[in-house]
Amino acid sequence: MKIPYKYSLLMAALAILLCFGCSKNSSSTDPGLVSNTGTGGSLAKFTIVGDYMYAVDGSNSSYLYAFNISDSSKITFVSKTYIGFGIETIFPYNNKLFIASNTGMFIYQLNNPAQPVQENYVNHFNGCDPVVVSGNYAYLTIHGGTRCNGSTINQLQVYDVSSLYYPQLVHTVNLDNPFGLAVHNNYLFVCDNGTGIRTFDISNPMIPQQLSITTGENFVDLIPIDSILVCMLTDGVSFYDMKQPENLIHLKTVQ
Amino acid sequence: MLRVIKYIPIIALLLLGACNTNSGPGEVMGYAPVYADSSTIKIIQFESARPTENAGKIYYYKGFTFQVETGKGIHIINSLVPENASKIGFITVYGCSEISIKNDVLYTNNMSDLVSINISDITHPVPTSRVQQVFPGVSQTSPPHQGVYFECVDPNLGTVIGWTEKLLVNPKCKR
Repeated sequence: MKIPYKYSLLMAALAILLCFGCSKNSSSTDPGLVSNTGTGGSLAKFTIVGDYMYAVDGSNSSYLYAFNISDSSKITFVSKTYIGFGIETIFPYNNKLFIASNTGMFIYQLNNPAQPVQENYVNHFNGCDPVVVSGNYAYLTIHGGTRCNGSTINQLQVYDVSSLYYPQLVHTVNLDNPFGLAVHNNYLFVCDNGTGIRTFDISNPMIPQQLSITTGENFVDLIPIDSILVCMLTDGVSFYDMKQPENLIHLKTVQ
Repeated sequence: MLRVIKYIPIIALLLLGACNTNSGPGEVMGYAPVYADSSTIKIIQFESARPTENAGKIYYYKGFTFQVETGKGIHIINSLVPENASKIGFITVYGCSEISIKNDVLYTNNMSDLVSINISDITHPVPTSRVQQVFPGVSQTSPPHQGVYFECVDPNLGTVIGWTEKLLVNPKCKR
């Protein structure tokens, strides 16, 4: 049953690529630049791209759902695509969806936004992980624990995704127990639970250089907005000034 | 050799002990169902700000920060001036865990439904649309983790809207 399904997906992907391959770049939009759409953290399982909202469910065998939200008074469910085991997060970038699972990272293209099509899958060691993308690089954290297949790996991984068909692991940084992460300009922020927020310089995007660790709260995830870093804590939300990203200044905690 | 024989009764006793499961596992960390009255689980309404108990995911939109109260709803934080950020209210949404917003419409999961809520007037959120039974929803029988003890579900107590970690004494259920 599974093999013909896989082939049909492949054939659909090929057909769509052949049809849209030439217009691929012109159709790409960065949802982060659309001011009427808000911003989620790296741990999100819902995301909006254009007139569509995409969702992954957190069940053992997870699907990618697409909803047409062009008329918010009448949202319609348009498709449901099987992804796989242990889906963790969804991140939109350049008309693609980067989906992180317990075993790796899936890349779906949205040439037909109503029906996302899998373009690639990169396998990594077992573990729970979110992924964010900036330019040609995807940054992914993996953390261990019993809920994460008993993995003991705690890492930041950097993938070159300039060729979406051949994503390459180019760098790893060992961490304590990382969760959410975010990129802002030349900086990468990683929540390393129990330690704090690690700020990395990614002027050389392949090799993040750690600049500082900000401690004091139990950080889980991050949203950079202009010069403010909005942080999800295990017990609330906090706000930091990040005008100097290596020197985050605490502004307020709301619990 | 004799030394080993000496320990056989002790080993046998230990083995016997392991077989005796009637008394349960004692005090263990496990999961317990969180119940809600079935008739109220689809009610979405604005309430006054409340303390955060089970902090969930965050979302930022036009100066406001939203944080999921896992399984219960969404905290609304006015963060236009981050140094003075403070809660201004709460939207009740049972079973909620995710948020996304576009054009003043908030999308979230209400149990296994997807709902859209107009938030152009943030203190008067208005549900505008609902896609029923689209997500797997919260299991009514067991927690979403393998190899864990949990408090058995009693359907008489209502609909299970979530599972929370809890110290259990001799729980009868395990998956």
